Amino acid sequence: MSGEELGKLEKKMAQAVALILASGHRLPGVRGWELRRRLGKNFPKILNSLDSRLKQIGLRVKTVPDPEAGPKDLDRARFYIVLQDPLMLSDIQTLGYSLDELAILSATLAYLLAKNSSAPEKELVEMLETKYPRWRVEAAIERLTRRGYLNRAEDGVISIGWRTLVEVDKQELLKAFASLSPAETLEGDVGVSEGGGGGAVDAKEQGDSSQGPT
Amino acid sequence: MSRGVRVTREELLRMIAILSEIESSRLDPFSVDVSNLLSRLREIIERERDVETIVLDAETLYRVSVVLGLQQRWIRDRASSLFIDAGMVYTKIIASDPKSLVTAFLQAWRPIVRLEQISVDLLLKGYQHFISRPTRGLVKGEAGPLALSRPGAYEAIESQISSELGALLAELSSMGGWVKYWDFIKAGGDRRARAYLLSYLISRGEVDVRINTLSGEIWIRAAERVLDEPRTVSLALTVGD
Repeated sequence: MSGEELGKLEKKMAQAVALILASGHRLPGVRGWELRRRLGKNFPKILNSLDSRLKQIGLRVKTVPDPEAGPKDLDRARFYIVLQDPLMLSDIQTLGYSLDELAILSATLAYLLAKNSSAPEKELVEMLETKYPRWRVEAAIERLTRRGYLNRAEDGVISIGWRTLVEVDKQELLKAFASLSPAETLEGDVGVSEGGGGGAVDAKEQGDSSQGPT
Repeated sequence: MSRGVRVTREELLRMIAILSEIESSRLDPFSVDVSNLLSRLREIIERERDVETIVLDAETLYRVSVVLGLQQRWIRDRASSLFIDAGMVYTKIIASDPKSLVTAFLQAWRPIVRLEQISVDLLLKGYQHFISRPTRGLVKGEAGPLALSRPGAYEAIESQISSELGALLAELSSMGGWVKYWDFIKAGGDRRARAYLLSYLISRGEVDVRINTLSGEIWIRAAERVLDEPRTVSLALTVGD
């Protein structure tokens, strides 16, 4: 690729990033036909190059096909930039997310995905009430619905929302849930609740004491 | 109508009701025995051949095909969810603490990245646009007083806008339920004026808005109750001529 072509590609990638990230007042992401209008018919190739570049800094381009048009219709698909790697539990508090709200979201999504993506709201609230008071559950569901993670239908059925389709890997979440066990929960609990320093000290002390008799 | 035909008709109507219920209430599509249902349909159509029975039989057959489609989708969804049962997920949720639930979620969660700030470049473009606009009231060289400075003029305009807002809200309420935004805007009068007035009703929380991001459809309805909290989401729409 000549220097001039490379320069053009760089410029197009910058345009693509601006279109996808700086969507202003609208909802995130951009449709394929909008990218085609600004970048030309080769926009999928430009997005591929952009994806490779973004991966170097822990981001990637995510394509979400239009459910009615199917995966081959890129014009109607929507393009987003998402994180490439999972966040750490310690990042959550730093980024300002509420741990309880994410726990409610996690349980809700896993339950909905295991029930073919929808369930009556009453049933869902009853399930979540085993962990949190009703007012808190209802407030969280309301907020998560507003943010697009959940969708509330007229007939009192909650289903997964557009943001879940973009941000959450269904199979990965269910696999993670399948591997949860009470024993692991306790271990994880110690590691997390004690924090980095406390957990390390505990492990060392256990190690020392176990080495003693030998 | 003979008793036999009446019984057959009732049976077919019952089948249609059950199959429709499965479709509309998203019940388990495998709760109905399709094989037995088809055998029974065959018996009925061989015994009764009047027009009404044939029509109802065809309707039942259509409903069966819909349920078969739902069964196919159900299997596909179950396969993609690794056949993990909701009961098992429920047990995991009960047995796990919030941190474990979040840790599981983080493995599958990749949040969207977006910018929510204006750039200097955009600010400059905005400023250029601002200074390029003609000064209001001086376009035609008029030096006379502005209309609003006349006594009572402001109140009259406010009253007119209030009545137009009320009329628009009443029109939307009379439609009942969700209506497509663009259908409503184009329903009558100056659509730019309707869109402008509607934006006020939406901002005041008197009209609910729902957007399907994937299909791009926008739905509106008269709000059942007006919330006190201010709306913080902006929605910009371009209404052409």
